[in-house]
Amino acid sequence: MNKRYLIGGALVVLTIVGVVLFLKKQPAMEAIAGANYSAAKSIGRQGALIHMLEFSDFQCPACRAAQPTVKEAVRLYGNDMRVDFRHYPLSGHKWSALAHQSAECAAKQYRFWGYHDRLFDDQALWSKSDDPTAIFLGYAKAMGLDLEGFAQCLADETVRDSILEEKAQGNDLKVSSTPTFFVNGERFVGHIELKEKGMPFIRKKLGLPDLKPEESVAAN
Amino acid sequence: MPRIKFFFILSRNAPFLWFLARVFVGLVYAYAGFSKLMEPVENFRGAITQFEVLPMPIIPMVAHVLPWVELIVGIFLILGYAPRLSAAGLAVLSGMFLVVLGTSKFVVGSFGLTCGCFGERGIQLSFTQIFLLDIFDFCLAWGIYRRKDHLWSLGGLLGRAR
Repeated sequence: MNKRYLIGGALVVLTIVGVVLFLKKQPAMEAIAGANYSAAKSIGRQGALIHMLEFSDFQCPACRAAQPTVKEAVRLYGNDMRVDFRHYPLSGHKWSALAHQSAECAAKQYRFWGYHDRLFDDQALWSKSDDPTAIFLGYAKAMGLDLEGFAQCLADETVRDSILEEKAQGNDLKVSSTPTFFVNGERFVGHIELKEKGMPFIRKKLGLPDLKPEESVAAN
Repeated sequence: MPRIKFFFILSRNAPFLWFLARVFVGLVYAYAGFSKLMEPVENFRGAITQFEVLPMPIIPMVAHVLPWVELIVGIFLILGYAPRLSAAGLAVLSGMFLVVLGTSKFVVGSFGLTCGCFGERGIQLSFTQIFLLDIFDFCLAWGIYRRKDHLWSLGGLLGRAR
């Protein structure tokens, strides 16, 4: 084997590795700890042992698929758990921005979670609609929200900006697909990861033993 | 007559055209690897998990190793370092991606809107786009592998052309 040839290859590999490690920057996890959370979009007490931060898109099917796992975590570990929702509307989803704005408007009237559930439950309906504004107003009416305030909020650009600000926070944390969860700073991307890896991680953090397969099935 | 002339030019320029093919396939893979490496590994791990094709225990290892392999072998191919071996490696990778993508789409039905093949922030390709790109890459890589001589190769400069 030609020594010069091998050394040349090794130098190329070392250069590549060096450049990648130099360019690769880890997202600042302090941004999570320092972020201001809206109480209307949180479940659980502040200072809970487990803090789950969720970046979701209402029009994303995987985000919808993650909801049973999030609810299961809240049901099982409710006293030790806090969940914070963060808007992350994907630009490829036609009605996502409007859905997030309507959820934010429900949050302004302290009814975020009910509205959130409705959006996910009916995702297939409104996401295929030609214009879901009437559907979103219908949900607000069914939930007994102040419709005039809700409609004004839907047209409010500052609300839109606050949603984009939350998305920008996600971008700072290198969130780029939905759903992305941070459980005590640990990242879990997608609903399968949350279920298969995130749930055992929560149990570990709480000092609980792993669920046996049959218990896991029963819990689900 | 013009037709004969065209094929004459093509055959005369074949080494150059294969050099372009080498750069193209190498760039596709180098970019795919680089864009994944610039993101937290969990993003790619999540993208692979969503395919529901690979067994869960090997996913973390694949998520860590695959982007490095794509980047290093892609750059090797561009530079022409061990071009036949690099091309064979990338042809195998393209073939494997075709199997995983096909299984995810047609057997499991888990393929999302985009593949995450270039990292979640990189170029987003639909199933058809990435499938065609992989077939194209596979054919080019196979053609490069079959060639014995390679134009402007680092391997040639260092005393070994293949």
